[in-house]
Amino acid sequence: VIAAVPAAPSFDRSWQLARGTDVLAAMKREVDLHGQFCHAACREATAMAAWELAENVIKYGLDDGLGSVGRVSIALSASGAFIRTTNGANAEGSPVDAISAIDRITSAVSVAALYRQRFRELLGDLDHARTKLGLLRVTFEAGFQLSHRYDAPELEISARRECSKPR
Amino acid sequence: VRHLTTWPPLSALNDPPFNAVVPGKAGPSRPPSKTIGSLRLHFHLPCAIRFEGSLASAMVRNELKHHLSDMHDRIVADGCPVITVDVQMLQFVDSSAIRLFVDWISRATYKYKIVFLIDPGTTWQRLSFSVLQSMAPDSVEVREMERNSGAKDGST
Repeated sequence: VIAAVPAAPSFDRSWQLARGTDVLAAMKREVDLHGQFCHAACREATAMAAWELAENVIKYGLDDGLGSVGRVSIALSASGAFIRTTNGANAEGSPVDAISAIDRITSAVSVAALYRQRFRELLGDLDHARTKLGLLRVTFEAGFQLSHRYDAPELEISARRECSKPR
Repeated sequence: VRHLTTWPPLSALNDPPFNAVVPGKAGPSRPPSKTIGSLRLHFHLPCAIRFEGSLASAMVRNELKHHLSDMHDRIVADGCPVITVDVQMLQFVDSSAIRLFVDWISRATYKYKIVFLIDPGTTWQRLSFSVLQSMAPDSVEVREMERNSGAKDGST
């Protein structure tokens, strides 16, 4: 007799992103609601990281002419989380900023130091137009590792972390 | 629940119906509160505010930005040396919202101190506010709270 092995609970969804909608709130609600099998710290970190990455897509993604500016997908299990965003991007625009920011973070000796440095910059200058904290939060606060791929005109940003134990 | 359209002067919080106990009347009155989308603000005496909910939409941020600016002016005008900001129940913020706190701290520097009451179990609170305290120790103090109780021993 072969006993059926119950599938490990998991969550795997994706959302089309559009400006002027409450898609991010809907995404977070789903993670909160359907990610209960994952420990709270990892679930909250995933919701935050996905929010920050998707918000960047909404801010900087190219509209495809039908109202969509990109896509975010989240795969969550008890052992890990994976987030991916894709969006169209002009070669001279947002991908340069995003790629250089990710390269700077992934090559940093201390992400905590970058995070502190960014806060110091913001505290010293109220006129900073852009906060530029999102990717640092994804890595430092939420514990994700970032990577990118740019195949013009599509920019893909991925983030992954283990969820087996709280950080 | 009373919804305010503008911030009351802090001194007015000492007067009925804003104070916690109305002299000569039985039972406490409710402290004033304000709801902005998913965010709820509760004003407490004498210079204290509690945030609840989430802070992650442009509408909420924009409105809160005006309120914080207004509140800063009133804190200065009233000569309040310390304001306590309880964010334990502020469950979710985006990076643009953190910027509001950074800007508030910048404006408060050398004028008054902001004491943040945080839930150490909420990662974003523990990490971001501790960094802010280290950046502006004269303007910011962080107290790690046990849920529904006082500060942890020695945790400031």
